[in-house]
Amino acid sequence: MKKLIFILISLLFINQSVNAQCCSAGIPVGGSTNIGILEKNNFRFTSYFSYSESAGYWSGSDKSKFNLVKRASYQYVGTILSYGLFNKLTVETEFGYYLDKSQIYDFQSDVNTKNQGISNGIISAKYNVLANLTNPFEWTVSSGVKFPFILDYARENNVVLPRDVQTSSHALGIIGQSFLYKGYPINGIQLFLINRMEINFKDYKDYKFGPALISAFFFSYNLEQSNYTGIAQIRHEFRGKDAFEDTKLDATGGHLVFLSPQLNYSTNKWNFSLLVDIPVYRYYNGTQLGNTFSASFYVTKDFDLASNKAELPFLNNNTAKN
Amino acid sequence: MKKLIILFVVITLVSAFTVGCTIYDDEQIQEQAIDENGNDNGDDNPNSTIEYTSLIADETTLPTGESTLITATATGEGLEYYWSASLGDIVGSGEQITYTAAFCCEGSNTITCSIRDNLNTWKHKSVTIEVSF
Repeated sequence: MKKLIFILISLLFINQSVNAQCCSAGIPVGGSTNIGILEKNNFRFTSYFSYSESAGYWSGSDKSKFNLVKRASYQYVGTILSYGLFNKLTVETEFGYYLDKSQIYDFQSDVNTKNQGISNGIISAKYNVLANLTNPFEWTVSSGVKFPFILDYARENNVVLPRDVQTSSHALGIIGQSFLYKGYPINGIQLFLINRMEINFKDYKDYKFGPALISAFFFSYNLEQSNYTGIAQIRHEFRGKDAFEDTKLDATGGHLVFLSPQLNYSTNKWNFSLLVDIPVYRYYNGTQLGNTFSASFYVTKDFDLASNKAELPFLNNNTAKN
Repeated sequence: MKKLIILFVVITLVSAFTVGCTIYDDEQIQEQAIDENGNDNGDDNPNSTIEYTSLIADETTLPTGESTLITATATGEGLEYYWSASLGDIVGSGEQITYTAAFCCEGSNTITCSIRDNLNTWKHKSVTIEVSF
Protein backbone atom coordinates (compact mmCIF):
# COMPACT_ATOMS: atom_id res chain seq x y z
CA MET A 1 0.00 0.00 0.00
CA LYS A 2 2.84 2.32 0.85
CA LYS A 3 4.28 1.77 -2.58
CA LEU A 4 0.91 2.48 -4.15
CA ILE A 5 0.62 5.74 -2.27
CA PHE A 6 4.05 6.83 -3.45
CA ILE A 7 3.17 6.08 -7.06
CA LEU A 8 -0.18 7.83 -6.98
CA ILE A 9 1.12 10.89 -5.21
CA SER A 10 3.85 11.31 -7.74
CA LEU A 11 1.26 11.84 -10.41
CA LEU A 12 -0.35 14.91 -8.88
CA PHE A 13 0.62 18.24 -10.31
CA ILE A 14 -0.36 21.81 -9.71
CA ASN A 15 0.10 23.94 -12.76
CA GLN A 16 0.81 27.38 -11.37
CA SER A 17 0.30 29.23 -14.53
CA VAL A 18 -1.27 32.40 -13.27
CA ASN A 19 0.59 34.90 -11.19
CA ALA A 20 -0.39 38.11 -9.53
CA GLN A 21 0.41 40.26 -12.49
CA CYS A 22 -1.64 42.82 -14.20
CA CYS A 23 -1.23 42.01 -17.79
CA SER A 24 0.28 38.73 -18.66
CA ALA A 25 0.08 35.02 -18.61
CA GLY A 26 2.27 35.19 -15.54
CA ILE A 27 5.59 34.04 -14.21
CA PRO A 28 5.30 30.64 -12.60
CA VAL A 29 7.03 30.56 -9.24
CA GLY A 30 7.66 27.02 -10.18
CA GLY A 31 6.11 25.90 -13.42
CA SER A 32 4.58 23.03 -11.54
CA THR A 33 4.61 21.33 -8.22
CA ASN A 34 5.50 17.72 -7.94
CA ILE A 35 3.73 16.81 -4.76
CA GLY A 36 4.85 13.48 -3.41
CA ILE A 37 7.74 12.31 -1.34
CA LEU A 38 9.99 9.49 -2.48
CA GLU A 39 11.17 6.37 -0.74
CA LYS A 40 14.76 6.33 0.41
CA ASN A 41 17.29 6.12 -2.42
CA ASN A 42 14.66 6.76 -5.06
CA PHE A 43 15.40 9.36 -7.67
CA ARG A 44 12.79 11.01 -9.85
CA PHE A 45 13.27 12.99 -13.01
CA THR A 46 10.34 15.07 -14.23
CA SER A 47 10.29 17.10 -17.38
CA TYR A 48 7.34 19.10 -18.56
CA PHE A 49 6.06 21.55 -21.10
CA SER A 50 3.46 24.21 -20.30
CA TYR A 51 1.50 26.53 -22.50
CA SER A 52 -0.63 29.35 -21.16
CA GLU A 53 -2.65 32.03 -22.84
CA SER A 54 -4.39 35.17 -21.61
CA ALA A 55 -6.79 37.40 -23.51
CA GLY A 56 -9.52 39.82 -22.54
CA TYR A 57 -9.64 42.09 -19.50
CA TRP A 58 -11.67 41.57 -16.36
CA SER A 59 -12.84 44.03 -13.71
CA GLY A 60 -13.62 42.14 -10.55
CA SER A 61 -15.56 39.12 -11.82
CA ASP A 62 -16.96 40.88 -14.89
CA LYS A 63 -15.55 41.15 -18.36
CA SER A 64 -14.18 44.56 -19.19
CA LYS A 65 -14.15 46.47 -22.46
CA PHE A 66 -10.69 47.76 -21.65
CA ASN A 67 -8.15 46.79 -24.24
CA LEU A 68 -4.41 47.22 -24.26
CA VAL A 69 -2.78 43.83 -24.57
CA LYS A 70 -4.68 41.77 -27.08
CA ARG A 71 -3.08 38.46 -26.18
CA ALA A 72 -0.32 37.21 -23.89
CA SER A 73 1.13 33.72 -23.88
CA TYR A 74 4.10 31.65 -22.86
CA GLN A 75 5.70 28.31 -23.64
CA TYR A 76 7.74 26.90 -20.80
CA VAL A 77 9.86 23.80 -20.31
CA GLY A 78 10.83 22.74 -16.81
CA THR A 79 12.76 20.04 -15.01
CA ILE A 80 12.31 18.71 -11.49
CA LEU A 81 14.91 16.51 -9.81
CA SER A 82 13.84 14.73 -6.63
CA TYR A 83 15.72 12.40 -4.34
CA GLY A 84 14.50 10.40 -1.34
CA LEU A 85 17.18 11.12 1.18
CA PHE A 86 15.32 9.11 3.80
CA ASN A 87 11.92 7.43 3.73
CA LYS A 88 10.42 10.52 5.33
CA LEU A 89 12.54 13.18 3.67
CA THR A 90 12.76 14.11 0.00
CA VAL A 91 14.90 16.90 -1.41
CA GLU A 92 14.00 18.54 -4.68
CA THR A 93 15.21 21.14 -7.11
CA GLU A 94 13.41 22.72 -10.03
CA PHE A 95 14.37 25.02 -12.85
CA GLY A 96 12.93 25.97 -16.21
CA TYR A 97 13.24 27.98 -19.37
CA TYR A 98 10.77 30.10 -21.31
CA LEU A 99 10.89 29.16 -24.96
CA ASP A 100 8.68 32.13 -25.63
CA LYS A 101 6.97 34.75 -23.52
CA SER A 102 5.14 37.38 -25.43
CA GLN A 103 2.33 39.86 -25.49
CA ILE A 104 0.67 41.56 -28.40
CA TYR A 105 -0.46 45.16 -27.95
CA ASP A 106 -3.63 46.29 -29.60
CA PHE A 107 -2.24 49.49 -31.04
CA GLN A 108 -3.19 50.81 -34.46
CA SER A 109 -1.11 47.97 -35.79
CA ASP A 110 -0.35 44.97 -33.58
CA VAL A 111 2.98 45.19 -31.77
CA ASN A 112 4.46 41.99 -30.45
CA THR A 113 6.87 42.11 -27.50
CA LYS A 114 8.75 38.87 -27.01
CA ASN A 115 11.29 37.41 -24.66
CA GLN A 116 12.85 34.09 -23.81
CA GLY A 117 15.17 32.90 -21.07
CA ILE A 118 15.67 31.05 -17.85
CA SER A 119 13.13 31.35 -15.07
CA ASN A 120 13.54 30.98 -11.31
CA GLY A 121 14.88 27.95 -9.49
CA ILE A 122 13.47 26.25 -6.43
CA ILE A 123 15.18 24.11 -3.82
CA SER A 124 12.90 22.42 -1.30
CA ALA A 125 12.66 19.64 1.23
CA LYS A 126 9.57 17.55 1.99
CA TYR A 127 9.04 15.78 5.27
CA ASN A 128 6.42 13.12 5.94
CA VAL A 129 4.92 13.94 9.34
CA LEU A 130 2.25 11.23 9.57
CA ALA A 131 1.70 7.99 7.70
CA ASN A 132 -0.87 5.40 8.62
CA LEU A 133 -0.80 2.35 6.38
CA THR A 134 -3.72 0.37 7.83
CA ASN A 135 -6.15 3.24 7.56
CA PRO A 136 -4.46 5.07 4.70
CA PHE A 137 -3.65 8.60 5.71
CA GLU A 138 -0.60 10.80 5.14
CA TRP A 139 0.47 14.29 6.02
CA THR A 140 3.56 15.75 4.42
CA VAL A 141 4.91 19.26 4.79
CA SER A 142 7.54 20.99 2.71
CA SER A 143 9.38 24.26 2.56
CA GLY A 144 11.75 25.73 0.08
CA VAL A 145 13.50 28.72 -1.37
CA LYS A 146 12.81 30.27 -4.74
CA PHE A 147 15.78 32.02 -6.24
CA PRO A 148 16.31 33.95 -9.47
CA PHE A 149 18.97 32.94 -11.95
CA ILE A 150 18.73 36.44 -13.41
CA LEU A 151 18.60 39.62 -11.33
CA ASP A 152 18.66 42.19 -14.08
CA TYR A 153 15.63 43.01 -16.19
CA ALA A 154 15.82 41.71 -19.73
CA ARG A 155 16.31 44.29 -22.48
CA GLU A 156 15.88 44.35 -26.19
CA ASN A 157 17.63 46.99 -28.25
CA ASN A 158 18.64 48.68 -24.94
CA VAL A 159 15.02 49.00 -23.85
CA VAL A 160 13.86 47.32 -20.67
CA LEU A 161 11.18 44.85 -21.66
CA PRO A 162 7.76 45.04 -19.97
CA ARG A 163 7.60 43.33 -16.60
CA ASP A 164 5.05 40.90 -17.92
CA VAL A 165 7.39 39.38 -20.46
CA GLN A 166 10.32 39.14 -18.05
CA THR A 167 11.21 35.49 -17.48
CA SER A 168 12.48 35.94 -13.92
CA SER A 169 10.92 37.44 -10.81
CA HIS A 170 14.39 38.90 -10.06
CA ALA A 171 13.89 38.28 -6.35
CA LEU A 172 14.06 35.63 -3.67
CA GLY A 173 10.97 33.95 -2.30
CA ILE A 174 9.99 31.28 0.19
CA ILE A 175 7.49 28.50 -0.23
CA GLY A 176 5.62 26.40 2.33
CA GLN A 177 3.31 23.53 1.57
CA SER A 178 1.07 21.04 3.35
CA PHE A 179 -0.14 17.83 1.76
CA LEU A 180 -2.94 15.64 3.15
CA TYR A 181 -3.90 12.26 1.77
CA LYS A 182 -6.80 10.01 2.66
CA GLY A 183 -7.36 6.72 0.84
CA TYR A 184 -10.30 4.37 0.64
CA PRO A 185 -8.74 1.18 -0.74
CA ILE A 186 -11.98 -0.81 -0.74
CA ASN A 187 -13.56 1.35 -3.43
CA GLY A 188 -10.33 2.63 -4.97
CA ILE A 189 -10.84 6.30 -4.12
CA GLN A 190 -8.06 8.67 -3.06
CA LEU A 191 -8.55 12.21 -1.80
CA PHE A 192 -5.78 14.80 -1.59
CA LEU A 193 -5.69 18.30 -0.18
CA ILE A 194 -2.75 20.55 -0.89
CA ASN A 195 -2.21 23.99 0.58
CA ARG A 196 0.66 26.08 -0.65
CA MET A 197 1.93 29.47 0.40
CA GLU A 198 4.38 31.68 -1.44
CA ILE A 199 5.99 34.84 -0.17
CA ASN A 200 8.09 37.00 -2.44
CA PHE A 201 10.67 39.60 -1.60
CA LYS A 202 11.54 42.84 -3.36
CA ASP A 203 13.72 42.92 -6.42
CA TYR A 204 16.42 45.56 -6.84
CA LYS A 205 13.95 47.92 -8.48
CA ASP A 206 11.79 47.79 -5.36
CA TYR A 207 9.09 45.75 -7.04
CA LYS A 208 7.54 42.95 -5.04
CA PHE A 209 5.13 40.31 -6.28
CA GLY A 210 2.21 39.71 -3.93
CA PRO A 211 1.94 36.65 -1.71
CA ALA A 212 -0.03 33.64 -2.89
CA LEU A 213 -2.13 31.05 -1.12
CA ILE A 214 -3.16 28.07 -3.20
CA SER A 215 -5.51 25.27 -2.14
CA ALA A 216 -6.09 22.28 -4.37
CA PHE A 217 -8.39 19.34 -3.80
CA PHE A 218 -7.83 16.19 -5.85
CA PHE A 219 -10.17 13.28 -6.39
CA SER A 220 -8.58 10.21 -7.91
CA TYR A 221 -10.19 6.97 -8.97
CA ASN A 222 -8.15 3.96 -10.05
CA LEU A 223 -9.43 1.95 -12.94
CA GLU A 224 -8.67 -1.69 -12.26
CA GLN A 225 -6.32 -3.45 -14.66
CA SER A 226 -5.61 -0.24 -16.51
CA ASN A 227 -2.55 1.94 -16.86
CA TYR A 228 -4.74 5.02 -16.97
CA THR A 229 -5.74 7.13 -13.99
CA GLY A 230 -8.21 9.98 -14.04
CA ILE A 231 -7.78 12.81 -11.56
CA ALA A 232 -10.09 15.75 -11.03
CA GLN A 233 -8.61 18.80 -9.38
CA ILE A 234 -10.35 21.93 -8.17
CA ARG A 235 -8.02 24.71 -7.14
CA HIS A 236 -8.41 28.08 -5.53
CA GLU A 237 -5.64 30.64 -5.90
CA PHE A 238 -5.52 33.79 -3.85
CA ARG A 239 -2.89 36.29 -4.85
CA GLY A 240 -2.19 39.41 -2.90
CA LYS A 241 -1.39 42.74 -4.44
CA ASP A 242 2.02 43.50 -5.85
CA ALA A 243 3.88 46.47 -4.41
CA PHE A 244 6.20 49.04 -5.89
CA GLU A 245 8.31 51.19 -3.57
CA ASP A 246 6.19 49.86 -0.68
CA THR A 247 2.95 51.07 -2.29
CA LYS A 248 0.45 48.37 -3.16
CA LEU A 249 -0.70 48.31 -6.76
CA ASP A 250 -4.49 48.18 -6.82
CA ALA A 251 -4.88 46.35 -10.10
CA THR A 252 -2.92 43.25 -9.15
CA GLY A 253 -3.87 40.01 -7.43
CA GLY A 254 -7.27 38.46 -6.88
CA HIS A 255 -9.07 35.14 -6.56
CA LEU A 256 -9.14 32.41 -9.18
CA VAL A 257 -10.78 29.00 -9.19
CA PHE A 258 -9.72 26.39 -11.71
CA LEU A 259 -11.08 23.02 -12.66
CA SER A 260 -8.19 20.87 -13.81
CA PRO A 261 -8.85 17.45 -15.28
CA GLN A 262 -5.74 15.30 -15.47
CA LEU A 263 -5.12 12.05 -17.29
CA ASN A 264 -2.17 9.85 -16.37
CA TYR A 265 -0.65 6.91 -18.14
CA SER A 266 1.88 4.79 -16.27
CA THR A 267 4.11 2.00 -17.45
CA ASN A 268 7.41 0.59 -16.17
CA LYS A 269 8.12 3.55 -13.89
CA TRP A 270 7.40 5.98 -16.71
CA ASN A 271 4.50 8.32 -16.10
CA PHE A 272 2.87 10.59 -18.64
CA SER A 273 0.39 13.24 -17.52
CA LEU A 274 -1.72 15.73 -19.38
CA LEU A 275 -3.23 18.52 -17.32
CA VAL A 276 -5.57 21.26 -18.47
CA ASP A 277 -6.55 24.32 -16.42
CA ILE A 278 -10.01 25.73 -17.02
CA PRO A 279 -10.87 28.89 -15.09
CA VAL A 280 -14.36 28.57 -13.59
CA TYR A 281 -14.38 31.62 -11.32
CA ARG A 282 -12.27 34.74 -11.15
CA TYR A 283 -12.19 37.93 -9.23
CA TYR A 284 -9.46 40.34 -10.20
CA ASN A 285 -8.56 43.40 -8.17
CA GLY A 286 -9.08 46.40 -10.43
CA THR A 287 -8.88 45.61 -14.13
CA GLN A 288 -6.49 42.94 -15.33
CA LEU A 289 -5.82 40.70 -18.27
CA GLY A 290 -7.46 37.32 -17.65
CA ASN A 291 -6.05 33.86 -18.16
CA THR A 292 -8.06 31.83 -20.65
CA PHE A 293 -6.34 28.49 -20.93
CA SER A 294 -3.34 26.56 -19.67
CA ALA A 295 -2.16 23.06 -20.44
CA SER A 296 0.85 21.03 -19.38
CA PHE A 297 2.35 17.73 -20.36
CA TYR A 298 4.58 15.91 -17.88
CA VAL A 299 6.95 12.99 -18.27
CA THR A 300 8.18 11.40 -15.07
CA LYS A 301 10.67 8.60 -14.61
CA ASP A 302 11.43 6.99 -11.27
CA PHE A 303 14.73 5.28 -10.51
CA ASP A 304 14.94 2.90 -7.58
CA LEU A 305 18.62 3.22 -6.84
CA ALA A 306 18.52 0.66 -4.06
CA SER A 307 17.15 -2.17 -6.18
CA ASN A 308 18.13 -1.30 -9.73
CA LYS A 309 21.51 0.33 -9.91
CA ALA A 310 21.83 -0.25 -13.63
CA GLU A 311 19.33 2.50 -14.37
CA LEU A 312 21.71 5.27 -13.42
CA PRO A 313 25.19 3.95 -14.15
CA PHE A 314 26.95 7.09 -12.96
CA LEU A 315 25.51 6.50 -9.47
CA ASN A 316 26.50 2.87 -9.12
CA ASN A 317 29.52 3.48 -6.96
CA ASN A 318 27.59 5.62 -4.52
CA THR A 319 24.57 3.47 -4.09
CA ALA A 320 26.71 0.42 -3.66
CA LYS A 321 28.46 2.05 -0.73
CA ASN A 322 25.15 2.96 0.86
CA MET B 1 23.88 8.74 -2.78
CA LYS B 2 26.79 11.03 -2.08
CA LYS B 3 26.97 12.02 -5.73
CA LEU B 4 23.31 12.95 -5.71
CA ILE B 5 23.78 15.12 -2.68
CA ILE B 6 26.80 16.66 -4.36
CA LEU B 7 24.65 17.25 -7.44
CA PHE B 8 22.13 19.21 -5.36
CA VAL B 9 24.88 21.20 -3.70
CA VAL B 10 26.50 21.97 -7.05
CA ILE B 11 23.20 23.15 -8.51
CA THR B 12 22.71 25.39 -5.51
CA LEU B 13 26.20 26.83 -5.70
CA VAL B 14 26.03 27.37 -9.45
CA SER B 15 22.73 29.16 -9.00
CA ALA B 16 24.09 31.36 -6.25
CA PHE B 17 27.21 32.08 -8.31
CA THR B 18 25.10 32.96 -11.32
CA VAL B 19 23.02 35.35 -9.28
CA GLY B 20 26.07 36.86 -7.63
CA CYS B 21 27.75 37.53 -10.94
CA THR B 22 24.75 39.12 -12.57
CA ILE B 23 25.40 42.68 -13.61
CA TYR B 24 22.92 45.32 -12.59
CA ASP B 25 22.81 47.17 -15.88
CA ASP B 26 20.30 49.77 -14.73
CA GLU B 27 22.20 50.59 -11.56
CA GLN B 28 25.43 50.89 -13.52
CA ILE B 29 23.77 53.25 -15.93
CA GLN B 30 22.39 55.31 -13.07
CA GLU B 31 25.74 55.53 -11.34
CA GLN B 32 27.43 56.60 -14.52
CA ALA B 33 24.74 59.15 -15.17
CA ILE B 34 24.78 60.88 -11.78
CA ASP B 35 27.48 63.51 -11.38
CA GLU B 36 29.54 64.28 -8.27
CA ASN B 37 26.87 66.69 -7.00
CA GLY B 38 24.23 64.01 -7.16
CA ASN B 39 22.40 65.63 -10.03
CA ASP B 40 21.08 63.53 -12.83
CA ASN B 41 22.84 65.62 -15.42
CA GLY B 42 24.87 62.78 -16.80
CA ASP B 43 28.53 62.18 -17.17
CA ASP B 44 30.62 65.36 -16.85
CA ASN B 45 33.47 63.85 -18.81
CA PRO B 46 34.89 66.78 -20.81
CA ASN B 47 35.52 64.47 -23.73
CA SER B 48 31.85 63.58 -24.00
CA THR B 49 30.44 64.17 -27.46
CA ILE B 50 26.85 64.13 -26.24
CA GLU B 51 24.67 67.21 -26.45
CA TYR B 52 21.47 65.99 -24.79
CA THR B 53 18.93 68.68 -25.69
CA SER B 54 15.63 67.34 -24.43
CA LEU B 55 13.44 64.43 -23.46
CA ILE B 56 9.84 65.27 -24.27
CA ALA B 57 6.60 63.32 -23.95
CA ASP B 58 3.74 64.24 -26.26
CA GLU B 59 1.36 63.75 -23.31
CA THR B 60 2.38 64.02 -19.66
CA THR B 61 -1.04 62.98 -18.40
CA LEU B 62 -2.22 59.67 -19.74
CA PRO B 63 -5.46 57.73 -19.28
CA THR B 64 -4.88 54.03 -18.56
CA GLY B 65 -4.57 52.03 -21.73
CA GLU B 66 -3.57 55.02 -23.84
CA SER B 67 -0.10 55.58 -25.20
CA THR B 68 2.18 58.51 -25.83
CA LEU B 69 5.34 59.11 -27.80
CA ILE B 70 8.49 60.12 -25.95
CA THR B 71 11.34 61.61 -27.92
CA ALA B 72 14.97 62.09 -26.93
CA THR B 73 16.78 64.81 -28.84
CA ALA B 74 20.56 64.66 -28.77
CA THR B 75 23.64 64.93 -30.94
CA GLY B 76 26.94 63.14 -30.59
CA GLU B 77 29.04 60.35 -31.97
CA GLY B 78 27.78 56.78 -32.00
CA LEU B 79 24.84 57.45 -29.71
CA GLU B 80 22.97 54.59 -28.06
CA TYR B 81 19.65 55.12 -26.30
CA TYR B 82 18.81 53.15 -23.12
CA TRP B 83 15.19 53.33 -21.97
CA SER B 84 13.50 52.23 -18.77
CA ALA B 85 10.27 52.97 -16.91
CA SER B 86 9.46 52.72 -13.22
CA LEU B 87 6.08 51.19 -14.11
CA GLY B 88 4.40 50.70 -17.45
CA ASP B 89 5.61 49.42 -20.80
CA ILE B 90 7.98 50.81 -23.37
CA VAL B 91 7.50 49.73 -26.95
CA GLY B 92 10.05 50.53 -29.62
CA SER B 93 13.67 51.67 -29.37
CA GLY B 94 16.10 54.35 -30.45
CA GLU B 95 15.41 58.08 -30.23
CA GLN B 96 11.65 57.71 -29.95
CA ILE B 97 9.57 55.15 -28.09
CA THR B 98 5.94 54.59 -27.22
CA TYR B 99 4.99 54.50 -23.55
CA THR B 100 1.78 52.85 -22.37
CA ALA B 101 0.37 51.76 -19.05
CA ALA B 102 -2.56 49.66 -17.82
CA PHE B 103 -4.44 49.89 -14.52
CA CYS B 104 -1.59 48.29 -12.60
CA CYS B 105 0.54 51.33 -13.24
CA GLU B 106 -1.70 54.22 -12.17
CA GLY B 107 0.18 57.09 -10.59
CA SER B 108 3.30 59.04 -11.30
CA ASN B 109 5.70 57.05 -13.46
CA THR B 110 9.21 58.00 -14.41
CA ILE B 111 10.59 57.18 -17.84
CA THR B 112 14.33 57.48 -18.18
CA CYS B 113 16.42 57.71 -21.30
CA SER B 114 20.19 57.41 -20.87
CA ILE B 115 22.42 58.09 -23.83
CA ARG B 116 25.90 56.68 -24.33
CA ASP B 117 28.39 57.79 -26.96
CA ASN B 118 31.27 55.94 -28.54
CA LEU B 119 33.63 57.21 -25.78
CA ASN B 120 31.44 55.42 -23.22
CA THR B 121 30.29 58.67 -21.62
CA TRP B 122 26.70 59.09 -20.50
CA LYS B 123 23.95 61.70 -20.36
CA HIS B 124 20.70 61.07 -18.63
CA LYS B 125 17.21 62.59 -18.55
CA SER B 126 13.85 61.61 -17.14
CA VAL B 127 10.27 62.59 -17.79
CA THR B 128 7.32 62.00 -15.48
CA ILE B 129 3.95 60.84 -16.76
CA GLU B 130 0.79 60.76 -14.67
CA VAL B 131 -1.26 57.69 -15.46
CA SER B 132 -4.82 57.87 -14.24
CA PHE B 133 -8.17 56.19 -14.79
